[in-house]
Amino acid sequence: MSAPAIKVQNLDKSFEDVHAVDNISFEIQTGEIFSLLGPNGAGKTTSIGMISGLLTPDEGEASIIGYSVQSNPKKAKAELGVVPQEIALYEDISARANLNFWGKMYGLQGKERAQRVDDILTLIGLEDRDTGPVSKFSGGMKRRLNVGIALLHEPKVIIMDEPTVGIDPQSRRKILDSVKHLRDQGITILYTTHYMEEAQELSDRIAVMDHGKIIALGTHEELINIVGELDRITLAISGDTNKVSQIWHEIDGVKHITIEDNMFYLLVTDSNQILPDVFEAAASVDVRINSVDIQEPNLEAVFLHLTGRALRD
Amino acid sequence: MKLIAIALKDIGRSFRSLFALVFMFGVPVLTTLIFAFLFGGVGGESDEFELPKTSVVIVNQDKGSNYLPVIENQNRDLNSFGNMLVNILQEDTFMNLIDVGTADEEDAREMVDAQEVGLAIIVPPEFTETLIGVGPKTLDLIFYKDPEMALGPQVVQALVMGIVDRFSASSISMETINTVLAEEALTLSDQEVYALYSKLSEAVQISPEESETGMTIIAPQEPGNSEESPSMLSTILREIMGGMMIFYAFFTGTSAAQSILIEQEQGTLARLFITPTNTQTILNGKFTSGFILVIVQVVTLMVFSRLVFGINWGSILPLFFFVIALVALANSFGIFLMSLVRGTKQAGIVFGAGLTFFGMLGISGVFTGGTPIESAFKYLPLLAPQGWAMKSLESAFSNNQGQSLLFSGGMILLTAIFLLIGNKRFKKRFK
Repeated sequence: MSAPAIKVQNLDKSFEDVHAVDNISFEIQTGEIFSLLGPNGAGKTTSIGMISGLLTPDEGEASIIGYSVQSNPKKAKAELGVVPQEIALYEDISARANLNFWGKMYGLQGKERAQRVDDILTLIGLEDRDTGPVSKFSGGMKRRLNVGIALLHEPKVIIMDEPTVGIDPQSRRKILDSVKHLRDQGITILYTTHYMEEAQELSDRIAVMDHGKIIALGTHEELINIVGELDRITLAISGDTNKVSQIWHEIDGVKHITIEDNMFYLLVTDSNQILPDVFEAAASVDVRINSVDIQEPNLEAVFLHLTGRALRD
Repeated sequence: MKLIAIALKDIGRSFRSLFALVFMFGVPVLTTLIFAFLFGGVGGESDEFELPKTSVVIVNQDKGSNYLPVIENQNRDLNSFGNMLVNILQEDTFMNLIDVGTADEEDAREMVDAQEVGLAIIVPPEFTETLIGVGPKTLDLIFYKDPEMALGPQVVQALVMGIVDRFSASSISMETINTVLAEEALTLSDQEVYALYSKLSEAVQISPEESETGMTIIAPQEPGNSEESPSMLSTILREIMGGMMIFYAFFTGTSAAQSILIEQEQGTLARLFITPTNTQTILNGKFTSGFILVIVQVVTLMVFSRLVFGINWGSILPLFFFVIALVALANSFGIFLMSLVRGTKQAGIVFGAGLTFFGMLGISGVFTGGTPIESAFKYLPLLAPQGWAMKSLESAFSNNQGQSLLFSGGMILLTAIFLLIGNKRFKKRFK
């Protein structure tokens, strides 16, 4: 049996007083899209830093296609392409010059490099904008080039660290489609995001991270099963939050309530059946409901169920 | 080769930066050009710059002293230091530098006010007596200058003060002799005093070329003989250009090292670290770009100033080692400085204050030579790495090859120390 594309064993990392990553372990099989889902500060980027060889773990080990990142970094890194969260480009030179430089850094030579640069420019839709300085590009174009560099040397494993942060919906869609396209070519992808929809749409398996730990890991369906068939009702209210919280807890079918400012998140067995009772109870304590949102069971609900907090931007 | 790719990328980016180009080439050349214009040497028909003549009028009121003997020199009586001063300034040595005339005080001041001359030197009646210790303890030697002609009169004033220092030295020698004799309860006869002053007076008549006043007076250059005997202006410009070249070489070295911090903040350094390229290769690539940039800068400035200003940089051997040592030291010092700071904001302070302070201290000899504070700045510049470079270059200028190589060796030693610390700190940071 071949080695897993990525193997993470007991990775642990602290920065002074902050325990950024707390003893995480997982394996990603070849051709799989694996998402690390969690809010900002959950430890996703630190985990990726250790897996890509940028950070040295305090404990534990990561390997890429069987090569240890810590003891055999050159071979491990040669199999890996990384799309960093921040756009990391030389903005005073052209897209082609950027690709040529990074191609050299990955050991591509001569004609092979020239061909790969042309291929990538076409793939990311910048073949007509290859000569001007990158500083003139839109945010979306820069993001695409940021992704393109990671694909240059045809890696077997790609790590994408929140590649869709801060871009327009059109560029976001292009990147999500390109991730699926890469998976179809047999490339393994480790994708981090705090957008539940992206993890849901792309992933074969998802690891939910919070405070440096993996608090749940499985397929989308497996994670949803953690919260069962519970619906989530989000309510914005004005009035006495304590009173209304107390009275809503007494309603039969309300399983869990989370309050953040004037927002209430209710996990309930059947939203259609319970909602009239929720309104009636609120009216009885003079609380006004300003908006209501009902959602089927999803990863947001899973996170809420596991942490008591909403998975938000 | 990845190291070369990183270095070439950085060099290419530097040459795209107008700011970097201005600091590398523009400012050093401009500074030297300004000095060349101030000395009036740009734009003439001759390839060689020449300092314009300064018209000087001397009001010689010196009544001399019976103790000072008469020396026959070019059929003129020199029975006073005032007459000797006029005689020295009228020698052929200075014919291309100054026009010397004499007048009474009122006429002399009027000539300066009317800008007919640049400087009037008023020698008081007790000039000789004071110098030989039989007149007033102090006296005023007045330099009445045209304020619009700052440099010419300044040069002549420094020259005159050098000559007066030599007069004074002869008198101090005489006083010392008298003191020693008095301690031994001996006295000199009038004839013996006369004979001693005669010798000392001859001594002060020596050529100003041998002066130890700090001013290097160089005879007018013979046409076609520039290699052996550079003109006074090219000597001045050589000092200035050398100083500017050293000053800004350190800026370039530090600026090149700063690219590590810039790339760290832009995220491209982290991206480099996740390629299959080891950390030392990445750092070496960045160091190499700095070395190449400073070599290009120094060689370009030397060749440019040789062609445009006619600067003679001296013997090839000490110069070669100086350039190598300068390039190495400028870069390693930059790497060391940048390894001490956390980001480009702190680096800005290093550039603005630290590098300017060390740079000015290091090349301070260029501007303090021939001034009263020269001796204070003899060793002080060695507290800055730039000072070692300046000393090496000055030694090369004066054909003191051994001393130049010694200072270049010191620069290499400093390079090793700075590089060792800087590299260690950067490696630790990016571990």
